[in-house]
Amino acid sequence: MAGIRSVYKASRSECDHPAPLDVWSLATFRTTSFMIGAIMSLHVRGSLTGSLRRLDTTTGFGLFLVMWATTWFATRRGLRELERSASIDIASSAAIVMSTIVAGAWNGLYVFGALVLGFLAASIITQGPGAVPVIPVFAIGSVIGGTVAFTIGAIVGLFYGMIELFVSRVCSRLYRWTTPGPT
Amino acid sequence: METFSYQTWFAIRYVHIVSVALLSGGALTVCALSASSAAIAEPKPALMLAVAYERAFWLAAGVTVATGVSNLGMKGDGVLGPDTAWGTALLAKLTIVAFLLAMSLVRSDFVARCAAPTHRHSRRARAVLISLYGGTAVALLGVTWIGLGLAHGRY
Repeated sequence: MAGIRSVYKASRSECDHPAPLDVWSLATFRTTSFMIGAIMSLHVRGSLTGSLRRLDTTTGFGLFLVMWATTWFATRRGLRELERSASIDIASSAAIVMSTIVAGAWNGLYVFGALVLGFLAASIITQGPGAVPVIPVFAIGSVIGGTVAFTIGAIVGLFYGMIELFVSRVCSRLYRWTTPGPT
Repeated sequence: METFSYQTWFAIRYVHIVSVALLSGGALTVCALSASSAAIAEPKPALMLAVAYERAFWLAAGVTVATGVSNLGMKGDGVLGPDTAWGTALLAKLTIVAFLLAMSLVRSDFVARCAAPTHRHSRRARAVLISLYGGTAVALLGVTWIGLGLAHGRY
């Protein structure tokens, strides 16, 4: 977020804070808030117990870690894109939202890729050479599924872009209010 | 579904509670240090502690959410529907957590700006830091209170 803000301000002179904290805080915010949102949605629809019953603890933790890791990579990628756009003076609200859309789309693809690899590995381990005929099906399914995951990720990214833009504006105003004017 | 294990459930709950204790204890510590008279004369140590807290906060937040979801999964049929008092309390807890995460994003951003070498310290910035960390601690303690009731079925 701070990274978004620093580029948004288009002036790194007042905000040379460490970039890893930007990526770390933003990626974890996205992962945890997405998870909380999903749980709230399931709970409101009354299907939380049934959904959680399908997952065992280890698999659940594994999926969370995969999502956390892929979100970190996608967030880092999005922030780099944003810095690049700022260097050619097109940093704006649209650039911030666009970077989250791109990050979301890549994250959708990363998560989908990790799931496909996981299923493929599980098939090979359980079926051995018998899993070979399944590989072309996985390949075709991956192309279609990857496109869908990319699109869904972009939509989620748009939603997050608007939230993060709002949060960024709130923080910018708060900081400006606390900064003493030139004497 | 895996075989139910009380040991695993206790371990998940233990990690969940410890990480929440670290989050709220850390927020109270940074709040107290920022409010101390020493921070008026020399604000750098409090800011350095705040930056360290922010790094730890997001790690602990991830762990807390992961263990919280696992805890719900282990509870099985103990998770009641949204129409019950328990379900309403769970929804309230999740809503507060969502707001806390958004507020924490503002807090992390604000701390990063204040930690920049070019930042000029002010009384207002100190007041905002105290408020943000105080608010974080209060929200976390409130969430813990609701969580305690959920764990013991007191709704």
